Amino acid sequence: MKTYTKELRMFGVLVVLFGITALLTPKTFLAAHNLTTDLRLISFMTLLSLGEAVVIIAGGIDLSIGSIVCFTAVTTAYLTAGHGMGIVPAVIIVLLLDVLIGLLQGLAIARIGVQPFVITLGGMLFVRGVADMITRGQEIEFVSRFPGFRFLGEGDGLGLPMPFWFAVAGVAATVFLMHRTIVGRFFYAIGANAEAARLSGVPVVRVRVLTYVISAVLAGFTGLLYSGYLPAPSPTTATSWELDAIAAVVLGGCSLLGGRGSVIGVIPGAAVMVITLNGVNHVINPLWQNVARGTVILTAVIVDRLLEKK
Amino acid sequence: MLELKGIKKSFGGVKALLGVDFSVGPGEIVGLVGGNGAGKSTLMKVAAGAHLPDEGTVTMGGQTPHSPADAIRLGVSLVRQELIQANDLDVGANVLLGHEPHRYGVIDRGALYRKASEALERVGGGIDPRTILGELSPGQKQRVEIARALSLDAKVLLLDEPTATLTEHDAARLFDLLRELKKQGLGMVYISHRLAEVLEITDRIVCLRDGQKVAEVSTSSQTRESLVEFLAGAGGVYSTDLQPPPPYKPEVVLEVRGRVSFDLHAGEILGLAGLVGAGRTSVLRGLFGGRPGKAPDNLIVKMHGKQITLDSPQAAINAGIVLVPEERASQGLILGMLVEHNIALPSLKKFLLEDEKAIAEPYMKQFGIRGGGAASTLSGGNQQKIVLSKWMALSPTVLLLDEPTRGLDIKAKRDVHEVCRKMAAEGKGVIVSSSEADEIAAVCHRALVLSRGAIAGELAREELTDANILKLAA
Repeated sequence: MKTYTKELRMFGVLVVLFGITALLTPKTFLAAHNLTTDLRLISFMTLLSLGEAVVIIAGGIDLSIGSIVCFTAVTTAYLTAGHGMGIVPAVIIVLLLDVLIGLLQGLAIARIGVQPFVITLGGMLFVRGVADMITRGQEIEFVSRFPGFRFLGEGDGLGLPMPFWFAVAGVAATVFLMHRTIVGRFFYAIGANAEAARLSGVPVVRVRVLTYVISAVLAGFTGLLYSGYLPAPSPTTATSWELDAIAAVVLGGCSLLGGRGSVIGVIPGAAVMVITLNGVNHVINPLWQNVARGTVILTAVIVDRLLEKK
Repeated sequence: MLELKGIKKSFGGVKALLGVDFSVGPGEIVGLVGGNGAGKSTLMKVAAGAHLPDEGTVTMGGQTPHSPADAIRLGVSLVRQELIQANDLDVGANVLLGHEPHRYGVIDRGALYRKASEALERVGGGIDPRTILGELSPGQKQRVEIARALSLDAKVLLLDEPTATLTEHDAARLFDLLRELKKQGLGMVYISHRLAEVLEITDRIVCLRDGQKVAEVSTSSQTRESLVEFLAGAGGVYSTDLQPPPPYKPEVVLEVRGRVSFDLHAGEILGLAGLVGAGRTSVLRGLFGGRPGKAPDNLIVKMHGKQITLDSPQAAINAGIVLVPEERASQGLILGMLVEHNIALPSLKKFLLEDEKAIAEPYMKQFGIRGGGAASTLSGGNQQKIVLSKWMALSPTVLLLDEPTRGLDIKAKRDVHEVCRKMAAEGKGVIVSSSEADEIAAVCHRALVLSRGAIAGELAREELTDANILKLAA
C-alpha cells in the first residue's frame, strides 16, 4: 500500500557516496576505527533526527534540539562533576528538564498558537544560553568518573558501537509508534490537515504537544550518549545539529509541509550527512565540509522534485 | 468571438472531453451546464489557455492562445470559482495584481488607484480601491475579480459557479451587473449547477454529459424540467415521485436552547434553510463543539433529556453528535490520506492501531468507493461518501450535515439524501442545512428558516418552496 521510493533512493545515494569516498581514500576511510567512528556519529544523528521527523510529519518544526543536546550534556556534567551528584539521579533530573522544555514549547505552539519556528527559535537560544551560564563558557570533564556511563557512548557491544544499538532501538520504537499506534496515525493526520483532524475528533492540542516532548526527549538521549563519548562537553557542543537533523529528515523524504514521509528515511538521511562530512575531510580538506554538504542537500532535493514532476 | 472546435482532452487514461464545439459571441451569455465530471471546468480551462487541447482548436478573434497569459492578452478572462486573491492587500492592488503601472519597477500608486477606480466603477457597488480586500463580502470580492478582468480588457468572461458563495441578494445584484456588461458587448459563459439561474440569465445553453455536448438550445425554449432531462439523461434532480420520509417518533432526541432553540425527534430530518450568512453553519458548529478553544456561549443542549457539554468536536462525537462539514476538502477529509484511513479515523480508540480496513470495508462496499488510494484521487461525490462513511461507522445518534451536496452531481446528491433517509429510518435525528430550497423540500420533515442568526419561521414539508423560504429569510 505504501511505497518507500524516496527512502530507497536515499539509501542508493548513500551507497554511491560511500563507494566514491572508499575508492578515493581506501586506506584512511575504510580503516576500522574510522568506520566505527562514522557509525557512532551516524547513530547520534539518527537518534536526534527521529524526533525531528516526528515533529515535521506532524506539521511542525523544532529548532531547539541541538541546544537540548548541549544542555543535556553540560547539565549532566555540572551536576556530577560540579556538585558531586551520582550519575543516575543526574540523568533523571536532566531528562525531566528536557521533558519540561518540550512540554513548554509544545504548549506555547499548540495551545497559544505561536508558530513553531518562532517558539523553537527562542527555545534554541534560551536553552543554549542556559548551557553558557552553567558552564561559564568552559568545558566540563566528567565522564572519566563514570566508566559505566562512558561505556554507553564510547563502548562497543557485539562488535559495534553502543550508540548504534540505541539508534536501532530508537528507530524500531519510532517506526512502531508511527505506523502501529493511534498516536502515529494522529501525527500524520494533524500534519496533513489539522482542522479536518480536529473535526474528526482528534485531540489536536495534546497530540501536537506530544510531538515536541518526544523530540526533546530524543535530543536528551542523544545528548547523554554523546556526552559519554565526548571528552568534555562545552557550550558549543552540538552547534547547528538541529539543522543537520532537519536536513537528514528532508533527505529522508519527509515534506516540511507535514503529513508525508516516514521515519525510516532519517537513517540514510543522517548517514549521508555524516559520510559527506567525513568523506570531505579525507578526500579534500575540512574547509570544503559545508560546501559539500550544501551540494548534497541541494542536489538531493532538486533531483527529487524533478523526479516527482515526471 | 471565442471559438472552440472539436476539443478533445484526456488526463492520463481519463477522457475528459470527447470532441466538443463551443462558441461565445459578443453581447451573449451562454450557459454551460452538466453534472460533476461532465467536463465543464476542463472546457473552460482549455478556453482560458490553462490546458492545451489534445485535439481541436481554440481561437479568440482569430488567434490561438497557448497559455493563460496569452488568453488574457487576447481578452479571455476566467473569473475563478474559488477566488484566489491576496486578502491582505487592498482592492486596487488586487485589481491590477501582476499588471501594476510602474516607473522603473516602482509602482505608480496614483495611476494604480486611478486605473483600479475606473474598473471598479464599471462593476458598481461603490467599492473603494483602498479598502483591504479581506474586509469585503464574497459578493464584493467577486466584483473586484470582475473589475480585474475588465481592467485587462476582457472581451469574454468565463464565470465558474459565480453564485456559489453569494447571498440571494448579492446574486441578484450580480445578475444586474452581468446584464449591464452584456449591453456593453461582453461575451460571457455562465457555469452553474443552479438551473433556475441559468434559465434566468443566459441566452443559450450548452449541456455537457460525460465529455460530450448533448444539447445546445436557446434558453427561452427551455424549462427546468427539460434541462434536468438533458443533465440526467432521464428522471429529475429530485424526482417528483419521491416518497415523503416516514413519520418521525414523538420522542425527543436533542433539545437545543440558545439563540436558536428547537427539538429534534427520533427519526426526524430537520431542515435549516436561509440565505448564505444567515447563521446556519454557526448553529451546526455550535452543536459540534464550536470553534477551536471556544465553547459556544449560552447554548444548553440536552440529549434524551440529559444535559451534555459540547466544548470540542471530540466531546460532541463522544455524545453521539457528528457533523458533515461545509468544506469537504479542507474540513471533512484528509485528502492525502488513504480512503480507508480517513473512514476509520474517528473510530480509532485503542493505543495500538485497529484494523482500519475492516472498519472501512462495509461502507466502501455499500457506497461502491474504491479504496487503496488517497482520498484526493476520488471525485467530489465519492469524497462526500467517505465523510458520510466515517460517521456511519460510529453509528451516531444525531447526524448534522452542512451543505452536504454542494458541487455534487445529481446522482451523488440522491445518494447523500438516501443516507439521510436511512439514518432517520433507523431512529436517528438528522439536521440538513442547505441554501437550496428544493434540497430541503426533498429530504426534510420540516424546516427552520434562519435569518441573522435567529429563527425567522418554521415551515412544514408541504410549505417548503423557494418563495416561502425567501419570504421568511429575506
